[in-house]
Amino acid sequence: MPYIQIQKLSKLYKGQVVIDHISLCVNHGEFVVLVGPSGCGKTTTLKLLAGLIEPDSGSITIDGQNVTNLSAEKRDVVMVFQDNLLFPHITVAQNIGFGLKMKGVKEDKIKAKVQEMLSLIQLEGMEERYPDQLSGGQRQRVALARALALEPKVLLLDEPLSSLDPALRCDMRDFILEIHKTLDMTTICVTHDCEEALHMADKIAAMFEGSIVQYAVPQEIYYRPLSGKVAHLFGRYNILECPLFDGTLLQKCKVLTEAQALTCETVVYVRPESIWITKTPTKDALIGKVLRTIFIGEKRIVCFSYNDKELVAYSWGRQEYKAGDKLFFNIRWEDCLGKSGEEDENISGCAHI
Amino acid sequence: MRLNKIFSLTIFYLLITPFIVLILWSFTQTWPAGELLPSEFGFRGWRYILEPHSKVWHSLLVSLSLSGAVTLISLIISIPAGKAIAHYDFVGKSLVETLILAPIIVPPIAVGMGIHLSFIKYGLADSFLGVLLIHLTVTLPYSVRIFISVFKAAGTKWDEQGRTLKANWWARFRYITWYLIKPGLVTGSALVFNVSFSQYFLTFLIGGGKVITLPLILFPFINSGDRVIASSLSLIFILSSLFFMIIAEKCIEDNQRQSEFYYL
Amino acid sequence: MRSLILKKSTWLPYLMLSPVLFILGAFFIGGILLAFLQSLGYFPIIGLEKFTLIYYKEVITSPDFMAALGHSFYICVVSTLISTVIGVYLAYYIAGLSHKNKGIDFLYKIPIAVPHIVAALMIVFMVSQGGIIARLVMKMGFISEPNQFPSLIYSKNAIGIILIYIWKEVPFITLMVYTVMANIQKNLGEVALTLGASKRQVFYHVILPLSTPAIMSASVIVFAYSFGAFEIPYLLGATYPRTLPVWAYLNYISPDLTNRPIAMVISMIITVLAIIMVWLYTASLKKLVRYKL
Repeated sequence: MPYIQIQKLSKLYKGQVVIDHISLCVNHGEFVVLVGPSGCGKTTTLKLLAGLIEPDSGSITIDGQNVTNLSAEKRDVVMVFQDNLLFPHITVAQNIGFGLKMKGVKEDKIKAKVQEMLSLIQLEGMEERYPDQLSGGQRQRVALARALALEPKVLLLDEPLSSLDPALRCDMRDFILEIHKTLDMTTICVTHDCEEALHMADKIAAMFEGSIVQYAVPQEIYYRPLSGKVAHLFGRYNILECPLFDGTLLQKCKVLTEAQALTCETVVYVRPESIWITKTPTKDALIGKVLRTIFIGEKRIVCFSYNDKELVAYSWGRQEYKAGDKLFFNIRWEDCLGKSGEEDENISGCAHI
Repeated sequence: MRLNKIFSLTIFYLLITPFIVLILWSFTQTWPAGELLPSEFGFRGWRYILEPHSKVWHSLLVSLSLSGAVTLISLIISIPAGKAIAHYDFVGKSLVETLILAPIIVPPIAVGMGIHLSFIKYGLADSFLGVLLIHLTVTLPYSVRIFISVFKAAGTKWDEQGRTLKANWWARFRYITWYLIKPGLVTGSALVFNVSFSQYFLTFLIGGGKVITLPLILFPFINSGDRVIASSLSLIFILSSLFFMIIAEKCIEDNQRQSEFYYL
Repeated sequence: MRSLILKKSTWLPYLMLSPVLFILGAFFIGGILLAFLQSLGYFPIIGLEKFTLIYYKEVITSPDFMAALGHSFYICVVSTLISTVIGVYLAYYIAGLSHKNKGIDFLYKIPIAVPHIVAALMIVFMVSQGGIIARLVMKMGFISEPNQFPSLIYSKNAIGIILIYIWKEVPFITLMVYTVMANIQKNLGEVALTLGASKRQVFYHVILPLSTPAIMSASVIVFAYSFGAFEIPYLLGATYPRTLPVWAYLNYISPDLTNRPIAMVISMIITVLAIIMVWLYTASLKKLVRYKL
């Protein structure tokens, strides 16, 4: 039995479907990230899980209990919002202890818990400060501590890092992961930053227009996206049709457009780093001419033409190619091909019962 | 939760019922004492008011032109003032801010009685101009406040962008500022018009019975006199101020309907 | 170089402010100053040119003064308190409606657009001895004669006046508080809910403390208005005690011109009291509310 089970959840808003029959299973202790473009329904999904809005159909089960119609304050679920939303009129300590106070926990117990949380987020001595006296990173940590003080079964994070500047973002990301591990929490996080998603997630769910189109571990979703849209979320890619049989190419690879890819069964989405470049011919290599190269730090982007279509690869190290060079581009098939013959698990990640 | 709803609806109806009673009275022919409803309906009140030579038409005209002028002047001079306070830093700024807010706090009775003699001396008393000027002291705080918050909310970034695109001050006003202040104009005109249109004391004192506005006609009816006529007069009063607000809103076209925001 | 906005500009802001400052300076400040001079007995038209505090002494030692002061405070405190409580409650209810109810949204604002004297007329129709409520009570058999209905108009208890103010000010307070509350409800209210607070707890621990500044600034405007307002108590008040503004006015129009300085003294007292109260309010607000929203 999965820890969180979402079944055929739908939500309409002003007659428009914003969440369209989504199903999702999350195991205890997992860190699941929902990614997708803005407006795809990620935050709505979180709010449905938190109980802030009611679904029009479908159900949510947490730890064996059906919570679909339970209101937010009665669920063992806490949500940390995008812009931290600390209560401005009370101190850090009162913010962290807010949930416990609402539950009617005794004053000294709250105090102890607040101290524990403060040392967890390394803000000891700040208890009497007010939110506007804290830096952005500190506020976000207090917001997290405020949620964790309640020891929720499920922690929901809505773009927890987006309001922080890039340097803080890395620290905070590691910090969230560490806490997730130490407290053995089940966490669902929403982001539109794919690097963040790949970094943090045990599993990633890609959402588009209110549906989950792919739900898999990071490597899987990165190298073997089910559609161009998902591939696009995580960076550059090439669309090829390569009829393979037992590791041998049956005929030459064809470059496809997004539209053609939709109807093609043997389409593969090839990441630029799955292509390695050689100067001497190799078996099954694509022969192409370099169009241009762009230096972006640790690597170079090599754009080359193959059958008059443009493809993209990376070159690493100090190897330099010039426009017009004729080169051999080899595809690492093991990267981009699924376990063949095996029937795909259904998208929700729930075992068939 | 149910209790909440009942409570709120009760408050709500208490706010609304007086209107219904007022409307009933205005269409009453006879309403015997002790009865819950009029025994006979009619248009006596309306006929009295709508008679061509009644004082009502004239006072309505005076009221509309007075409050219209007050609104126009108040808004026009408040726009630069609001911008100056919102976007500039200058010596004596807090003093100016206090002065602008003070008329909301200080009762008009002190100002009106204090200035009355000098108005008489300089020929402003008993005149349209005098009443207009004294109304402005009451309405300006409201309109300036609205434009301060409009300009504060908009910030200086639009103006700066306009400058970098080489727009001169008129072009910036016409194509940038105008759109920013539209919601403020809607709220402002409604508020200022209302304050001026319902002003009794200052009009009475400074106008000295020569500038007769609608409130002056209505005033004696409140504690004595014909209830039917008083009700019709009151309705004319409310309708004309509603009418003005609708016209103002239509003219200015606040498409985003942000005007409510600026009531504070 | 072109001048930048927000720099310490020398003359431009003053130029922009000049029309407003001229009108307020000449007529508002001028009016107050002249009232002050006249309250000190400087009144050249009837030959009084010496400054004296005698009129202040006369007013303050008069038995009428304490009565008028008390009566003014009574009307203004009671009506402000009740309208604030009801207005806040209504704002909370409207902010909590899940769907914006256009009808309620429009209708509750109507009294704001109604002038005070029309409001007075409506309340007279409701609560006077010949009013609808008296008729209703009589029909139901609780009283047999209209004059058995308690007298609320022209009476010492001033209930009619207070009701008029409440009817006018509740929507005003609701309007001023509603926007702020709706904002808090939308953001911090949701946070509090996910942290396990009940709706009642959200109201008392989050919404109410955070909308205090808005509530106080709305009620101080209402307070200052009803303290200095003249029309309603003049029309519907008891002959004794009178409110301070009415007392001032009656002195002003008295044919005996030597009463004029008395009127000015009273209006100066009203002004000073109003300023003191507003100042107290802002000072306490600064102490109470140390955060920015």
